[in-house]
Amino acid sequence: MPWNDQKGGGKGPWGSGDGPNGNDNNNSPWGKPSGGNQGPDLEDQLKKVQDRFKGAWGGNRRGGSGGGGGGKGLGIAGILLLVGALAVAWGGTGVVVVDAGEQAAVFQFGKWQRNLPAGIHVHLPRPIETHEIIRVEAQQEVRIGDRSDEGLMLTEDENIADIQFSVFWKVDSARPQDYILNLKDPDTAVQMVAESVMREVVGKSELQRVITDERSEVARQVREQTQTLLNQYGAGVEIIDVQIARGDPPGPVIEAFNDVNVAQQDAEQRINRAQRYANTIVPEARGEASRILQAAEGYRDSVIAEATGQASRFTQIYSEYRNAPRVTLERMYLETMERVLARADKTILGETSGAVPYLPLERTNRDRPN
Amino acid sequence: MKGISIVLIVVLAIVGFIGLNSFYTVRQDQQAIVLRFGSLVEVRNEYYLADTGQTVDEAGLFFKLPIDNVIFLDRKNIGSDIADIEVLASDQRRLTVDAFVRWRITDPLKFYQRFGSERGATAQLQRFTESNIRDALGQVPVPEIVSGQRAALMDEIKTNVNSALNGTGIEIIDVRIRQADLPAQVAEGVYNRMRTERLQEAQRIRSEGEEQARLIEAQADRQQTVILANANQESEQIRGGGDAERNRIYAEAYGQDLEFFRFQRALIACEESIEEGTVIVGDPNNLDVCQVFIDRARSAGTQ
Repeated sequence: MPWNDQKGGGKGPWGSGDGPNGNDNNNSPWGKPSGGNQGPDLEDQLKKVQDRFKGAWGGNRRGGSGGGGGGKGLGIAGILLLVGALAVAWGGTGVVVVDAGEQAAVFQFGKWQRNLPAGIHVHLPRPIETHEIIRVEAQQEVRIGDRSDEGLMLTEDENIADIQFSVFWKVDSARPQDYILNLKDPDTAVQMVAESVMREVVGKSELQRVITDERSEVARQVREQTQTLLNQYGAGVEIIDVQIARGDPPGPVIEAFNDVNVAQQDAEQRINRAQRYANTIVPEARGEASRILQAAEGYRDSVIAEATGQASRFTQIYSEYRNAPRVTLERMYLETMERVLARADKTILGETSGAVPYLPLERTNRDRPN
Repeated sequence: MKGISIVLIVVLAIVGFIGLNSFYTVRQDQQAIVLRFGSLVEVRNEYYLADTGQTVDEAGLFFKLPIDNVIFLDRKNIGSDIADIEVLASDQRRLTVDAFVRWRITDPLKFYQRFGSERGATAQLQRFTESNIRDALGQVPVPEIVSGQRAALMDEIKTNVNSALNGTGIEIIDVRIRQADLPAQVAEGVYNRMRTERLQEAQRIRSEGEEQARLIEAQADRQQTVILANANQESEQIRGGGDAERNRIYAEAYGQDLEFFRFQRALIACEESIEEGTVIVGDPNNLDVCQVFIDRARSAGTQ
């Protein structure tokens, strides 16, 4: 409807106000707004209404010719009905249904008055008061770093990090009017501010920290600083969260970074191998040591045992000898000779034989292994 | 009747036209200047009062003459992007900078006179800001831009642009560097450096691993050597102890009668030295092979 259009400037305010006020004039209430340069659809409407009124007048005439004042009453009733309908329709422009998760900001002649929570509400009809519905609770997401080079950021140690992050935000439910009043294109502003803050924070951190242990700290700082800056702008925006989806070294060097991880594993493996070696040879050495000691003890024990044995044998023989020295000496000598000569191969040469001694050398070698 | 209603319609139309053009609404996020044939009538809801610097808050419905022309301007905080500024930092290194500037119209009349529209203003603003960014960043080396003085630099740029735009009805709220990147060929150099750094780091980690591993191995070797040496030493002691004990036992036993010991031991030696099958060639009158041992033992004992 043309009088809803505030942007047109001053032509709105009384456009519909004339309707109910103009009831002294029977066929003109719709005519007033057409004084402006509004579109053809209004002219159509005007024509339609005029036609309807012509019909009413015509009925009146017919009634006049037919049966007197009753026709006139019908005309007035029709007009009242119409005026009533218009009044209701006008009042209807002040009814607003606010959905869950939304708020409606109400403006009086363009000046913010109040916010309406979810539910059905009535404010003064247009154009006195207007409203704008704001989706306060809807969570928005801005993703930064999806495009190829967008995520590349310089770090404090003059390296380059590749970061992709998301900013989750919503309209500040305490001041939703700020969201529509203070910033032109607030959605882009959120993205720009978040991106600039992220680069600033990353620019003050070292690469290694950004891509490893300080990631959540970076996200926290970005969230806080973005919020602070947007508050300075009065953006009416609440940053819910900043999440770093990817924080990596850039593509061309990622292999070298992975090599460091591989190197760490290599080093660990190497150390484990050394540990295994140590765990093998030290116990083995201890085992060997025990073996050596056991052998030594065995030697000692056997030597002592042998000595003890021989000593006791000697002592026994000696005591025999002490009892009967001559006999024992003789007996021992003879017994030994007996055993020795019984064992040996003997070649006995008679003193008188005179023959050239012939030593059977092949016999002396008879039992040798070769 | 019909004639009267036509006249009424025309009259009401004229009245309505005049009525509609006698009022205008200024929204809270707008500021308006009212011109009558090009000359200023009034300014409504301007961000700052030009003379006192006070913020005004007068959105609402206002009266004007139907002939007056109302121009609405934005009262919001407006953002303009400035992309791809080539900056030569004081250390002769180049940077590609993207920035954005947040600004607002504070004096609608001056703004309208100077720029006519927001679009015209944006173009000039971008030019001013760009040259100011280039000047400011050209004074400092790259590390300062990236990390050190970033906030101070942006403040400086903001102040400079503000003073350059003084009297144009524009106020700069904020200038922020969104992106400050090295050009592609410089980035390649950075990548190379990062790569070599990482490879060095990898080498260092591997070498340190090797160092630690060798230390462990050497310690193990030493432990092994020490354990074995100790064992051998102890072993020799035990063996020596055994030998000493043996000698003591022998000495104790044989010391009872050396003469007899020699005799007995010579017999044992004789018996053990002649094995099974030893060939003895001899005179039948003199087969006393063991006598040799006994004589030898006796002569050794008496010497």
